[in-house]
Amino acid sequence: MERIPRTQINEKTLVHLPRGACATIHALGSQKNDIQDKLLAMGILPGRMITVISKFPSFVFQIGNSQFTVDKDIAKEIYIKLS
Amino acid sequence: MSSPHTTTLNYLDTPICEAVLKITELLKASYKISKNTLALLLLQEDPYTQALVKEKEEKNYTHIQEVVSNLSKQYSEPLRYVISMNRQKTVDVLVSQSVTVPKSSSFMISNFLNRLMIHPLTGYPILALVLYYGLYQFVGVFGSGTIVEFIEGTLFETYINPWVTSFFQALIPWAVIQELFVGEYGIFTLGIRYAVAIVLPVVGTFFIAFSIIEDTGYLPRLALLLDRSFKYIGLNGRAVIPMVLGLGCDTMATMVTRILETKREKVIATLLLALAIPCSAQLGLILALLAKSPHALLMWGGVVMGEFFLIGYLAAKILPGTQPQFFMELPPLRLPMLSNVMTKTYSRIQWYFMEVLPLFIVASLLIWVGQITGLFQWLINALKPVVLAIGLPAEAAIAVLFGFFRRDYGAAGLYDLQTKNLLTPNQLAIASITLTLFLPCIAQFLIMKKERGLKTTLWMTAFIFGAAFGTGYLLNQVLELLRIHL
Repeated sequence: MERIPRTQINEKTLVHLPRGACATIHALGSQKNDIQDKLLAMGILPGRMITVISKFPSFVFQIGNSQFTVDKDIAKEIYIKLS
Repeated sequence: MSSPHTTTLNYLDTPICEAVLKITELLKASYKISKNTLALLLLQEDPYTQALVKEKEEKNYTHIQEVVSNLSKQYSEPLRYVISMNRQKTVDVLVSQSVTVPKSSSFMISNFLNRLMIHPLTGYPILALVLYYGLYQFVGVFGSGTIVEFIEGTLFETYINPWVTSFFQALIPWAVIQELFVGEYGIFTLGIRYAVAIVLPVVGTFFIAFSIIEDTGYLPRLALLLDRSFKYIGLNGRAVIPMVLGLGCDTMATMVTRILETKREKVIATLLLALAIPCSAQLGLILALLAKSPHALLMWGGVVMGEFFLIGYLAAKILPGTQPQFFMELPPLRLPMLSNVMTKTYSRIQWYFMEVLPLFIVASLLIWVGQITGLFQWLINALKPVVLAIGLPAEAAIAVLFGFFRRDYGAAGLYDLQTKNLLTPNQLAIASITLTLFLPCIAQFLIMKKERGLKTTLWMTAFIFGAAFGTGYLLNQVLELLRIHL
């Protein structure tokens, strides 16, 4: 897992996106391999559009036709590019 | 690339496709799954497949590893990731060719409901409503009140019991054998009556409510609402599924702890289920027991919930391991189908009944043997000091002894005492709390042993016994000291 797209310090993650906003997934954080595996398995992949539905008490977002809920620790690993 | 099994691989980049073919040729042993799949898993560095192939192929495995590392040098990202992207690209193309999305009104309604359920301002009140109507009104008031009163009070007391009693008395001339079937603790009058008239309506209504809630897709939404609180007790939101199911049957729920990821979470969830989650049979009886003294009911709820969070918090502090992560897919909200709900409820009740009825019968049998030999009386006498220490009348020793078999069996014993007006609200509250904290039943112990191992289970059981009686004792002291009468 050493060569997933590197992220710069200033890059935004899902945590920074306001509710209702839409963005493109840019990269998956490389800090924790197990989180990356889970995201890949759920089809949360770079290049896909992501829409934030809710941020509290947990993160809820939509990708394609599916909705997912994750905690903040995982949301922090989803890097985004504003479109 | 013309051999027939490459057609299933044509969504992959050519280099990956070629690597898969090379690996399938190197895989000589026989496997239960297709070699294409194995090759793809090897490229994605799946540890289970790696171990399996390493063992079966021995020296060939190094050649396979070479193929994998040569391929991964061609990409700047890990292969796992590249393959996922390949797959997604193909899926997108297929979906755009074959799927149209209608904007129907039912979609809008479910979308609106979804937002209400996951919004903190509306989500928690909805949760309270679901618990109040689904659990309290339907299971508590209707199941353990109305239906139990009808089956137990009307059917059994008026019609079935007298008929069966006279039947056995005519059939069997010996009073001792009559006792076994239709005596105070007889197989029929106690075992079957408890199972059919008291436990079945409660468990049945719970499983109906649970199946409906399950089929609407509400549980993952509940999980996301509670994730933050569950993190304090070392669990993640996903654990609400075993916890809510535990309100039906803790034994079943202990098996469901398998959906939790880490051993640490499984241990905490198992302990909390055994300690502080009352099963529906118990819940129904306790609601019925405490219905006339709302203060006692409130105290029962407060103490049991407090214990749930306190023990969970301490367990999370003490047990080593990392904080759990929470992720779940939210399925769309759906209207449950009656046939589905009925089938699920039926199979769950069947499972429960098959498990519970033999235990009830065995319990009656043991009590009968114990009575003849005097062992039962001896045990009750031995338990009396303990029962008195937590402020209960000596008669409650029988209920506590039953409680060793099953908590609901014990609670049913208390129910009998209460109908004779032998307990004050204080005593009712303490007895209900102690019995709730007890290990639910023998089956629970066996399942815990199966899932967590004997050593862990024995530790947990010892702790639970201490916690249950300790709480009862302390509570009694506090109530006495402050001269509180509920």
